[in-house]
Amino acid sequence: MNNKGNVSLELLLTFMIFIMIVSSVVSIAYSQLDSIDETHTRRQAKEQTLHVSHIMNEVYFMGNSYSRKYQLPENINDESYVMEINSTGVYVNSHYQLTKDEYIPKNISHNGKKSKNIFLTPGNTYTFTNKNGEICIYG
Amino acid sequence: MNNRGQISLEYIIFSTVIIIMVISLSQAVLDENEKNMIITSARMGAQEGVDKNAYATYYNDTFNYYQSDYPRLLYPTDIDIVNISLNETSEKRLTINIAAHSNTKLSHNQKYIISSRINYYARRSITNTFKQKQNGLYYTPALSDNYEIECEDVKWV
Repeated sequence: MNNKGNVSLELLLTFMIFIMIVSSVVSIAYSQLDSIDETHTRRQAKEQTLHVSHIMNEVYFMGNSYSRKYQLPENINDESYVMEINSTGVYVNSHYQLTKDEYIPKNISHNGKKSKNIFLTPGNTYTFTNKNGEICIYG
Repeated sequence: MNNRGQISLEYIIFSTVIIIMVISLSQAVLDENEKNMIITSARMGAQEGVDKNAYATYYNDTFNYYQSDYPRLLYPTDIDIVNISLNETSEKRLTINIAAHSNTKLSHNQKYIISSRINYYARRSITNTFKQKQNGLYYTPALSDNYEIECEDVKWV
C-alpha cells in the first residue's frame, strides 16, 4: 500500500485467497460446534455414572464402616439430569440421552430403606457407607 | 505502473493472461475445494459417531433397544477411524468409504450398527457443513453444493 490510497494487485489477490480459505474453514468449524457440545454432554454423563459406581465399589471393597461422601454436580452441560441406581447399574439421563455403568455390591439401601430404584438429586451431597457388605446411601 | 494513472502494455497483457488462467482453473479449484470440504466434514462426523460409542451414551429408545438386544454396546467401545476415501461414482454422485479398527471383539451385527452410526454422523456432518436441507430421516444421500454423497458400509481392518 502506498501513500496515494492505492493497493497493489498482489495484496488484492492475497486478500481474496485469504477470504476464500477462511470462508470454507468457518463453515466447517461452525458445523462442528454442535457436535462438540453433544460429545461434551456424553462425556460428562458417562463420567457421573463412572464416579458413582466407582465409589460404590470402593466402599464395598474397603470393608465394614468405610464411608465416602460425594456431591453430585448441579448440571450436566448446563442442563439438569436424572441419576438412578437400580439392581442393574447406575444410570444417568441427560439431554434425552441415557448411559449406564455397572457396580459390584448386591445390597443397596437409601436412607435406611431398601428400594428397587434410588433417585439421586443433582447438587446434593450423599454419603456412601458400608454396613456389613450393604451399601447404605444417605443424603 | 507510473504516477500518471497509466499502466504499461506488458502489465495489461500479463494481467490478462493471469485472469484467463484463473478463470480456466477456477472451476477445477472450486470443485477440488468442495471435495476437500466433503471429506473433512465426513471425517469430523465419523469421529462424532465413534465418540458416541466411546461414551456409550445414546438416546433413550436406542438405549432401551441395545439393552434388550445388544447389551455389549452399552459399554464403551474403542474405535479408530483409519482411513476415509472419496470415489466419484457418476458426474454428481460421490461415495465415501470409511475404514475403521477396533481392538474390541465385535459380532457382525454389532459392527453393522456401529458402521451405520459412523456413516449417519458423516452424512449429517456433510449436510450441515454445506447448510443443505436434511434429506430423509437418515440424510440419505447427504448433499453438498453440487454433489449427492452416499456412504459404503464401514470396512473393518
